[in-house]
Amino acid sequence: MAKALRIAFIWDWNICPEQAITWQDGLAAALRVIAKNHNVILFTIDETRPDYVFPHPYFPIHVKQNGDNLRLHIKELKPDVILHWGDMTRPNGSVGTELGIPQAICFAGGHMEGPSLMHMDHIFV
Amino acid sequence: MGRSVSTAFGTNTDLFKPKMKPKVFDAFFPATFADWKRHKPLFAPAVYGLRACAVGYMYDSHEDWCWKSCEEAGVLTLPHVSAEALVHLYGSSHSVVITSRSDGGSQRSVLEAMAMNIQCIVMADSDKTSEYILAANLKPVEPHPQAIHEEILRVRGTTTNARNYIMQNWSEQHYADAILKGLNQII
Repeated sequence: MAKALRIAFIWDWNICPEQAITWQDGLAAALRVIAKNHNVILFTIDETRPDYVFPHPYFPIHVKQNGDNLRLHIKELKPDVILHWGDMTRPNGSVGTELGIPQAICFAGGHMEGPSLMHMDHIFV
Repeated sequence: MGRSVSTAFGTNTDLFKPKMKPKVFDAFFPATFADWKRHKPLFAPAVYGLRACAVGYMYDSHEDWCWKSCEEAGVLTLPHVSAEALVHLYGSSHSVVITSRSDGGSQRSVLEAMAMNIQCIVMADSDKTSEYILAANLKPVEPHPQAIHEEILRVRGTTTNARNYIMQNWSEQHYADAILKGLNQII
């Protein structure tokens, strides 16, 4: 079996708790499958509160108050790869480039052109 | 390193699976109430006089005509519900009707309906939603209220075997495999 990866997943939007707690679509289910054999750590943003952990039914989501806290946590985590979920306008699309970590994005619809595009090594559509 | 692109998509087949439920609705449309979903020009007039339900994020600040047109047409109009509740609404419906434009998304809802073996009616002018229907040997309908209405009546009381197609192509396992393949290419 291939080496277990450490994957940081960034849901790069301000959290909407109502949406987050009910997030059980194909992507959430796929991440749950991946997490059986790999270390998947999920992140999102909530600018209104200090960092906390959101109790999603499939996995904990680390909610960071801002991009600086997100970068610090990911730097300490040293993931093999970063997987984003969003479009190409998200504010933390450059985190992998800044930390020297390869990154991909699950394109969620929205803007296909934007500052994040140049920071992605792979795009899932 | 050059940027690569691949397809990774699928649905939660563990959650969305066939349910034996009493059929309450002729037509069900799960989608944000947004203009590109075409509630007002297509869904609302197509289901007028039928038992229909539409559910999704509702906004007063913009495009409120989407949910208002449904209410005026006698559609049970609900705000966003949990995934577990969504399963029961799908299961209580004879058909899922997706009137979204090609740039309006809704592929996720198409896969969910197909995974539950529910008749899924999509528009022939949306290549995004039609892709899955055509691949499962089903047929999209013309984006016209009367054509949609007739299709809802035609499929009422029937189901599909589309879950087999989903399990062979678009399950969460396929989604996970596609993501891992892409990630391993860039590590």
